[in-house]
Amino acid sequence: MAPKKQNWAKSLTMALNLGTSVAAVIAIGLFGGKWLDARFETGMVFTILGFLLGAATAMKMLWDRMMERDREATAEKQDAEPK
Amino acid sequence: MIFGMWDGVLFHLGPIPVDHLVVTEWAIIAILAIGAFIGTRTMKLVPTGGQNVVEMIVTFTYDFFTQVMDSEHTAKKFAPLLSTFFLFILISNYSGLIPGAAHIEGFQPPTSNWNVTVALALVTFFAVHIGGFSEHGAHYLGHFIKPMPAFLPLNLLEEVAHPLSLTVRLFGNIFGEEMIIAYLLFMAPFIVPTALMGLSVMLGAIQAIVFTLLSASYIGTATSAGH
Repeated sequence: MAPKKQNWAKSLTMALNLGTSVAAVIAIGLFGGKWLDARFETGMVFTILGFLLGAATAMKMLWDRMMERDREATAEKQDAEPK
Repeated sequence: MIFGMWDGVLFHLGPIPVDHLVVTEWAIIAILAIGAFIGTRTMKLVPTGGQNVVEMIVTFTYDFFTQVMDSEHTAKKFAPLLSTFFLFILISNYSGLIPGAAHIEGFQPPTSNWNVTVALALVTFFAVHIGGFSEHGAHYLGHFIKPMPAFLPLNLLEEVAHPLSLTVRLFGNIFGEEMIIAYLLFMAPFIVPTALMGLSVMLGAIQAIVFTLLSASYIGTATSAGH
């Protein structure tokens, strides 16, 4: 059986998406937290919480994409195995 | 006025102010509409000449979006929107290469203003969720609490990050590029900016492709069976 054609468009999209989305979630968390601290005069509490929330979201996004790739690789391997 | 960027109103349509960006966008829409009209007015069942080329491009577009979205059905449904994104952004970016752009008052590429990129990103944002609801119905809401309800804030933050990253990337690249060209034209007119304008041709196309690809990816993820 011929090997499955590499889906380069999807891989490129995933790389582009991850880079900017990881930066975006951390930025939203950090600046959202800074805005809340300025609004409620709470020192650095929301800035730290926002950053942690952003970092956790970034980790979850990376984990999700990794699992997705893993599922695809498993499916491709099963397809390639002789019946 | 900041670095040649002008935010003045040209005229009013009743109570609505119309600025130079809106007029530039109308011109781009007119170019696309006239192009589509000319390209499709003499269509035949058995294609000949230019219709062969247009059909080849459309087929390539469908195949490409099918690859990105992993679904032919979704690709066919959203290809018109995504292709329009691509053409609109490409022409907007290239409008910055017309002599005078960015250093004549009121003449700047629409994509170098964040209002335009926010509007484009919001269209993607709504298309993603409309696509998700149309494929999965009310079950679509379930993905916000996957793998467990405690993940709701993380999932919401991820959804908000998509339009933000689309907006900032497109605006930042085109605005930055226009600023550099404007500065170079001011410091060393005629020769030095030419090399950068050559690079702009490539960057304009890359940014249009990136925006379209990411929009397709977000829609594909929202409509996928595993979502």
